[in-house]
Amino acid sequence: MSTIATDQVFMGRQVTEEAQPDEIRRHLTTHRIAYDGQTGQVYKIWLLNIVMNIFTLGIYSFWGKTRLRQYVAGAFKLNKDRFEYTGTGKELFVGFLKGMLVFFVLYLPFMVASFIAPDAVWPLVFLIPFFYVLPVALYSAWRYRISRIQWRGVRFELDGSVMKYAGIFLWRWLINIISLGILIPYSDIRIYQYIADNAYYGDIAFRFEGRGKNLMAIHLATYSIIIGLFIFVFYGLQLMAASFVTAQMAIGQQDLSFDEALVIFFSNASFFAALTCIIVPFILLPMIRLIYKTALIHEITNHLYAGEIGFKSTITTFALIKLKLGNFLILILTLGLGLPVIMQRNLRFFAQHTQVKGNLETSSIKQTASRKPADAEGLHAVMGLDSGFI
Amino acid sequence: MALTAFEARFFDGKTARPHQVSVELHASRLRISMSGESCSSDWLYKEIVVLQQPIPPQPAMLTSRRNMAMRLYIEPENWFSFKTKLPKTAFPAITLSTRWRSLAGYAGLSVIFVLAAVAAGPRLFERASELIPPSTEIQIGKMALDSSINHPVCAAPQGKAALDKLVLMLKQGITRDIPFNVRVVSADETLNALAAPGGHLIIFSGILKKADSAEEVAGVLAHEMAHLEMNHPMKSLMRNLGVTLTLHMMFGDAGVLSNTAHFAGMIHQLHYSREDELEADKIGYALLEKANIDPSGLTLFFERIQQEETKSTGHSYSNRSDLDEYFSTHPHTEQRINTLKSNATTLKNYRQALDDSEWQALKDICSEQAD
Repeated sequence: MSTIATDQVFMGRQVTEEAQPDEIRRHLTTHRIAYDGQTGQVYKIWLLNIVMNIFTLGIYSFWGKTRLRQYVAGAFKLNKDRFEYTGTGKELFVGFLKGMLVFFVLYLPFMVASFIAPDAVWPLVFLIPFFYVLPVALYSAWRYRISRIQWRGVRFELDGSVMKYAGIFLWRWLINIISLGILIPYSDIRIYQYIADNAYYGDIAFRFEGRGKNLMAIHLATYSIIIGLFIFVFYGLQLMAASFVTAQMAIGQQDLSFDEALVIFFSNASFFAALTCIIVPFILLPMIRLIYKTALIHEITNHLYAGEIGFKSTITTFALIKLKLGNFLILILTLGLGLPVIMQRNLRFFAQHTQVKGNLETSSIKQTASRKPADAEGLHAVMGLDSGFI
Repeated sequence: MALTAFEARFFDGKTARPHQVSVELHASRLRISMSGESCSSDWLYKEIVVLQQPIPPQPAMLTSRRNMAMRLYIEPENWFSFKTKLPKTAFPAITLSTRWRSLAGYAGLSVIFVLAAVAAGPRLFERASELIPPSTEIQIGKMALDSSINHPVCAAPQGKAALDKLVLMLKQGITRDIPFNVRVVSADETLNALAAPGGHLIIFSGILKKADSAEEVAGVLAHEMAHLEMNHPMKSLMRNLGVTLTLHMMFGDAGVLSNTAHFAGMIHQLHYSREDELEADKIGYALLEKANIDPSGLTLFFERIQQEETKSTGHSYSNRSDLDEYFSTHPHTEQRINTLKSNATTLKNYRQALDDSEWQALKDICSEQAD
């Protein structure tokens, strides 16, 4: 969810420029991000991708994905100027082949071991490297994507080490489990911190000053409501089981047909109580979590800086709920054919709710020689982590 | 002399400083002049690379071969007067027309490749099943059964002895080295028997209940043993894997289409297993002949199943359409009976498969059960 918010880093358009002394204006100028991608165009690219994937056994997907990324990046405008995606399908394809190779090499010991000792437990040891694969794949995908975006002819970069990121990722994961989820905000912030601290735009380093403790109050509040709802659900399930048993007994005792028993089952009052217990939490639960999500997005956006440029998110929980609920309904009602519409909604939402503050007309930002040639997101694709889309 | 001039956006690729420039089109080059500055830069048309053609409202994006980090953005309304001046080399890869043309060729090749893969893939995997060592086969069969069958195993000693006797007789015609492991499981409602890789063979007690003679049970047994003789279970497993992998390769990311792919794969697989069934009938018949057991037992049993079907559902399988037949895993009972009957040549003096007390013991095999 936060991918959208952080994927296409700050883009927008200038809306206010009041007559104020330069020094103050530099800090006050707020640039909005514009997104003018056309749903028709996105559909055209998407459908071509599907058709070509069928004909090419999926190999076209790398070029198709690239085409879509190019279009979407070009549709984002910050202060009159558009973003550009410079990745190529070939890079993605080669990256995928490399990822396959890595995956196979990692998997081979386990395959051999479990062939030698089919019933033993020790071959499972060889699956341990796979814990590392997920974060490594995630970070290398980040690195690739960020380093292929540029604005005003100047590249973004993501430095840092995949192994270090994987270390942090797995360590925070462990902490989350041990603390029973109570320390989740610290983990969220720590992981994001690593990415932000290693990001650059030209020769400007990004800086992140968000703190996990800022999120603790809202996390604990939503967390305890969620636990309360789980208990509610637990008793709801028990009630439901009881009413089902009652209906079943009715079949035996009153010589009812199955249809008639179903009618009894559905008209049973306790069944409806149980239904409420199930349905309400399943709508409420994600919504409550979105309160935290909103706070998280605010924390990570509002405390991010690139030199003197700052960022601001105007996302509200209500808007987020509306977005997610709408996306869910579109997905269900169109049987997946509305995917491009969902993507458009997400991108527009991000553009609408993200602002860039500060003076963008500076001439001091310089292009740097690429810090590190970022490999393409091979493992990421092999593991099927993309939605198969952007 | 300038033919046309328009405003554009320029970035030098060294700094993020934006330049609002005016572009003048000359005969063989364009001149970019920074507004408010005296300096200007000339791009020869033959040096220009079009990175992206305009997709309104997105502008065209150009660079120069002299320095590929530079960017010149030209608005759609100015593009068309300008486009004609550019040589073909300015559009390196992604002009739509050439792309479509090469795609068409590629698509044609791909269709051939896909058809070849679909036709040959499953067969190749089927052949690969011969390479699997017997110990692995036994493991796979055990896994498959453990996960799907959780009925208690029938274990009355006399019944087991009678069953083993039948298996021993039928084994005479088996040429493969199969470690048969035949079990009856307690499921009186289930009229089925199944064979899993590695010699595992399960008979549901419904069969014993419905059968009128040991010959009928022997018939079912022979049919399942014939499956194993022909290595059908392993083959179908591998075939299945082949079809699934092929289709996944094809439809991998396409989401909506992958369900269709699965459905198509299922039809493919059912078609094969129907061939397998008819083959197992034929081989099973030979096994019975070899053991000198009356093969008409199998025929009789099928006939009775058919009557049951007619009685319980009000129509017989033979009333179903051909399409139904194609889609069902098992061929028409009627068709199988006909096939079997056509195989019956002369009436011979067959031996009694089991004597009365052994037959009774087999019927009662579920009086003692193990887990």
